[in-house]
Amino acid sequence: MDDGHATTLGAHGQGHAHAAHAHEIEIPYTVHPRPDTGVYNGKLGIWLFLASEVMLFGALFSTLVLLRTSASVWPHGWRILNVPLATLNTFVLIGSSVTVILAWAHLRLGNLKKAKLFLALTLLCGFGFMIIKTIEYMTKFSHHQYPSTNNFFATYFVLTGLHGLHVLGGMVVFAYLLLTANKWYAEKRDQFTNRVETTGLYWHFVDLVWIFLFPILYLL
Amino acid sequence: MSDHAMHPEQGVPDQHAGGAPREPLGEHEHPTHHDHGHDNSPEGIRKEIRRYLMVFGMLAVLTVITVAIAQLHLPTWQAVALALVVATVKATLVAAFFMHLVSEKKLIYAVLAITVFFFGVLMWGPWHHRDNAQKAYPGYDVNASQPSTTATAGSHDNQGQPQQGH
Repeated sequence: MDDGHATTLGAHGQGHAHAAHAHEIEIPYTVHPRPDTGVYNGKLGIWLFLASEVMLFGALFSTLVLLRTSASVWPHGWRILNVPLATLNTFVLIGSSVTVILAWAHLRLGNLKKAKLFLALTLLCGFGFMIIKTIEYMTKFSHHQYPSTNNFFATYFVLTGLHGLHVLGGMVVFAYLLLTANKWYAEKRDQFTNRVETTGLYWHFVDLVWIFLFPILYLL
Repeated sequence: MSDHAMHPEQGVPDQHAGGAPREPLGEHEHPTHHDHGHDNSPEGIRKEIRRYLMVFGMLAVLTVITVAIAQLHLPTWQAVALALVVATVKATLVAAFFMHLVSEKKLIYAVLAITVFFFGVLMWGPWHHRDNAQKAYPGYDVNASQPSTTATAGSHDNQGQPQQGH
């Protein structure tokens, strides 16, 4: 009985001590590579996430191949979709892939001002992409072309819609990184640099998906 | 540096989950040595930046090329093959240089190898279906989306148009 009581007290005391230190305890391997994986945890995390993303988009691409090869007729994307706008969007997106990696490079060079400029440009490209996409969608809707119109438009809207959501998600993260950049840079510069790198990895993936979506939907 | 909480003499507190190995001590002296596979000297980074801009240029050129190829309106399977080749080259450039897969750790490659395998399984599905459908339904035309050979040369109108609204 006494022992149990002492143990409880001990555990409680320990817990209290931990709580007091809680604000000092940091998540491990946010900066340095973990010896057994060889990478910092965030990088492994984002790659595992991207692997799941490949499967998500892969399932939809697979569906597209199935529908298209089974269809007796399938329209040419270039006949009914706006190729010039999509080409412009391709340039916007690969441009934003460069700006995000330049932001990362300038953080490593210790130039926060330039890094923020390139993060802002990346966010701007995201906006540009979404505006162009909205124009495209609005044109389709005004012609009464909806996901329910036919299998072509069903796959077009699902694939570009999911991709657009990913662009939107990236923009939210870039906005957050921009808004908190000064604080992060002052307090945890290396961790912030890694955050920009992992966000960049995600953004390049979104770019990569578009690199396949563009020819498959618009050009074939 | 973000590792001020890692006091060697304490040797405690943050590694409880999964009994992971401790972060190497004494890293404080090498604050910039956090990233492997990258030359973190200013010259090294500037060289990287030039490489990124070059890759951007190549991606832009390849985009123009893929749009130009599409203007030729080649027969479906040639167009598909060419478009996929160009897209794969572009994707490789992005993955290799922007996502720096040219110099990544083994574990990342392992994750990607598994991903590629299962992506392959996903893509194998529709092809498998094609073969089965042809066996099950003798009239099933696996080349249905290809221009028929009887169509007039240069015309792809047999591809059909979608219903333009109602």
